Amino acid sequence: MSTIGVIRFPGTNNELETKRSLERLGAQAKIIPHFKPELVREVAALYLPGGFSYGDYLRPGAVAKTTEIGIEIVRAADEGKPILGVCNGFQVLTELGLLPGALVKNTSTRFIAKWISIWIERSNSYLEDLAGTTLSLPIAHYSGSYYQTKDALEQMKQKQQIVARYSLTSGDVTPHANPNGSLENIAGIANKVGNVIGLMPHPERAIEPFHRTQHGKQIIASFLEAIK
Amino acid sequence: MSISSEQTLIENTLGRKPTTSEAAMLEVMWSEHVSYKSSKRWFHLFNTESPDVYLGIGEGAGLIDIGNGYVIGLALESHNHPSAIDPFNGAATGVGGIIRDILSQGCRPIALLDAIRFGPLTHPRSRFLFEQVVQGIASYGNSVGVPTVGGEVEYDEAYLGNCLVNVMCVGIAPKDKIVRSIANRPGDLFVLFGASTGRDGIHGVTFASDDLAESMQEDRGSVQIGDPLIEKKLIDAVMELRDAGLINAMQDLGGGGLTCAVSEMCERGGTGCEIHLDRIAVREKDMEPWEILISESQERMLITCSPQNLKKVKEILDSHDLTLAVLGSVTPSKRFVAKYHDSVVADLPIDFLIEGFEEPERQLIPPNSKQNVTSRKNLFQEPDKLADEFQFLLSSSNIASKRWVYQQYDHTVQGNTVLEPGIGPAIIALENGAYLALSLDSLPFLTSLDPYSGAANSAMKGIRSVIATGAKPVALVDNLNFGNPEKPDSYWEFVEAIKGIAQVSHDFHIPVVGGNVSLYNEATINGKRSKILPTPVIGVAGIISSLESIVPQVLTAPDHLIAIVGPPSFSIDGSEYARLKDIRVKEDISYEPREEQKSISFLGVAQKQELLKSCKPVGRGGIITTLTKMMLQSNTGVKIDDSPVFSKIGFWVSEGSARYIVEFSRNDLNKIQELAKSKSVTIKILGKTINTPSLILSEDEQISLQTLMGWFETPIVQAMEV
Repeated sequence: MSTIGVIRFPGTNNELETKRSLERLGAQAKIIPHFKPELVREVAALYLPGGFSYGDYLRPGAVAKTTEIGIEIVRAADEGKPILGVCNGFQVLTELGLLPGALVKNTSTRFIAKWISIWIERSNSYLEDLAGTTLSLPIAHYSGSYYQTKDALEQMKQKQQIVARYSLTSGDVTPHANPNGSLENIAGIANKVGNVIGLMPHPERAIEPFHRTQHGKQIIASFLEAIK
Repeated sequence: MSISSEQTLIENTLGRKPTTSEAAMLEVMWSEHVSYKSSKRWFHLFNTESPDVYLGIGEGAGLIDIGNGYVIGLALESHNHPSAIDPFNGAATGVGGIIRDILSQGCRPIALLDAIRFGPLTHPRSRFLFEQVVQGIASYGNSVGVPTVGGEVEYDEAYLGNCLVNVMCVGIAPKDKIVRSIANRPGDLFVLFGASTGRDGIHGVTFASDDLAESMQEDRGSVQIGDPLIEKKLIDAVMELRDAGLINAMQDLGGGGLTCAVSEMCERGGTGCEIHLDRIAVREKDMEPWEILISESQERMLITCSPQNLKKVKEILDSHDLTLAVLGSVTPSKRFVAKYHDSVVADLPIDFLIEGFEEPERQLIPPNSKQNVTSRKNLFQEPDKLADEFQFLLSSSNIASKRWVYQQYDHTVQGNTVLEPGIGPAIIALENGAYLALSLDSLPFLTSLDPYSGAANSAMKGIRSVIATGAKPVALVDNLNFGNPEKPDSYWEFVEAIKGIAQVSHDFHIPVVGGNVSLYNEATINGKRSKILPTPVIGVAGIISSLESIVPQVLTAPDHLIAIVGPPSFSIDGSEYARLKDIRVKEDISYEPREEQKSISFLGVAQKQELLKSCKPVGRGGIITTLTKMMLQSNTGVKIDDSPVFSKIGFWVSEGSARYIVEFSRNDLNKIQELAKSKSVTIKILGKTINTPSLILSEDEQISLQTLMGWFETPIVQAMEV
């Protein structure tokens, strides 16, 4: 069976629960530390977990993109391997240029950790099968406010690159449901091809029977489905 | 003992004047913070034993055997003085320091809790300290990836001059991977790794052992700066070194820096050391040997390893981009020998360094109890409307929701969090299949009125909350925050509090496995003495065997009965309500082990028979506060029974001990009552849960949950954001 690589930069801190959540859904996963970029070629898909790569001291993901393993991640994306970046992983993917737009500081200028709901959109990505569902997941970030220029956003919409928006539990996408000031409540996006997705909420923290929901399973299951 | 007599002692023992390095080393090692010279003499009072204790007080963390081949590590420490000077960095490095204590035993850090205290939020300085401390904790804890799952926040005039920041960390390790801090193999190498060494934190411990002076700004250089990125790398690297079996002994560099870590490791192992200070990577120019010896730069770990393993150790540390220095070796000499470019800068007997000081005389004098005591009767009147008093209490800063705080802490990272902050004690899932309940509590106002009972009840508060979830308490840790021990009244409070905690540890057979003492929390502002409330912060850890046996902390469904278990209480003495009304009476304050035990044994059986739908101890703010929390979290209303007892404000706000609110099915009423009878426990039916989202007190008085929510949720946000 094919293996999923869980990328660990120095300062990544969600790698263990990410690996565990993939295994809970029957997948094989291994942690790939930044100093072993060659391992990226051996795996079928990549999960870039959250944390503070290189401390996020310069800007989230800014240093990670300059690394050797960063080059390997871009190669894997070009090869069409499914890639899921969560939280800091999402930020790294935007810095690598694999996803459009940027994640800027929350409008509150504070770290926000709480449970939110997202509405899954119709998209061109491997989360398409979840379109129309509302999922309740935790967020935990300081820079999670999605930003994009107006024209580029229009293009993304045309290409169906918007994957998820912050919503009420009912699924209604309202300003009140927006926790961090993201443009149009955007919580997750895909690249044009649909094999690379970035999400701010954490599916790997909504898996176990003792978690508040197990909605993360659906996202991870769809991610696993995408591996041929 | 005065400084000059300590100098005489040093010169007489060494037969010469100490070198500059030696003098600096002795100063930090003999400081109150490192030596516990005013407090250690009382620690024998604690119960420190149970069949589960794997390692008690004395190293970085206490270790408790939790079965299936695992131990948990517990540590609790204050960072009060640094946080008062530089709140962001002081709090952040408090988090970093306690994580390394856990790491130093080979445990992976899995949870953080913080008990933080400030002056009233009406003061701009308090708001500033509060905001910065919370951000410091958030920035470090979130970044290093250890969830902050619980804790407490309190505001009182008494903390205006000295804020308190106490941080608890919990870790886990397979039993066979535990590392000890004992350098017992001469020939082993000392390897220091992590951050470089700078001048930050020089004399941090001696400054923590002084009154805070008016010139606080000048001390800022004593506050360390944290780097959570290096800390995360340390965690990864230590876990790898541990799993590869390369570590013979390990300790983190905390208070007292290299001097403290090396000398403690050698003292435990009956060895000595020869270390070369010039091999250490320094980050500042022209650092003197004595500065290197006592620097408290953060994110540094010290291990000993066998010479043949050094290559592997280096490889692992290199792969994590961590700087290392091979300092020298463990020797059989029992002396601390430090060299700088081959010249000896320090050569001291290890035992002299650790315990060569003379224990200072301390006087115990209870403060004049007539002082500041007002009469309850003159001040206290039954209110016309209960709702007004409820609003007054629920919207007071100490009772109101701390959501503003804990939403800034990543409490779900690592994916093991079961019960999140704001509901009850934290609960996290453990690798061995069990669940861990954690609380961190103190009752300083109560303790200020009666230090013995206040401290005992501070411990009981945590024990009750852990037990209510269905957990069996397995260990206590304490952080004793008090005033100047050289002042007899402060010292008396301190000793009384220790006795109270010790009594609880014996009465309930829960061992004390670690802790910290923070004295000198006094400030002289404009010539006026201002000291903190005596604040014994107690951490409690309890084990729950399965997910199914966790008892909810919030109401579960309509048409269940709600009752109060435990001795009826109408007294407001020592309560938050009394503090708000400035009523300082201690007549009814007591520690009641027999009543506590009766209630606990009732709950034990009721939980076993699955009779309890939910259960929460009556905590700070009394029944109304506890009930409000149980209602708001589940959006379930309650209709109170018709009884004259329930119209008295004392009933609603009393914090009388040994009591719990329980929810159960009507069908189980008989069983519950019979059980209460067999355990000689008082049980009083309070009312029932209802579908309507309201608290119905009587036909004429009801409060919607929306209203309660507004009172409870908005005050802190308003104080901080508007």
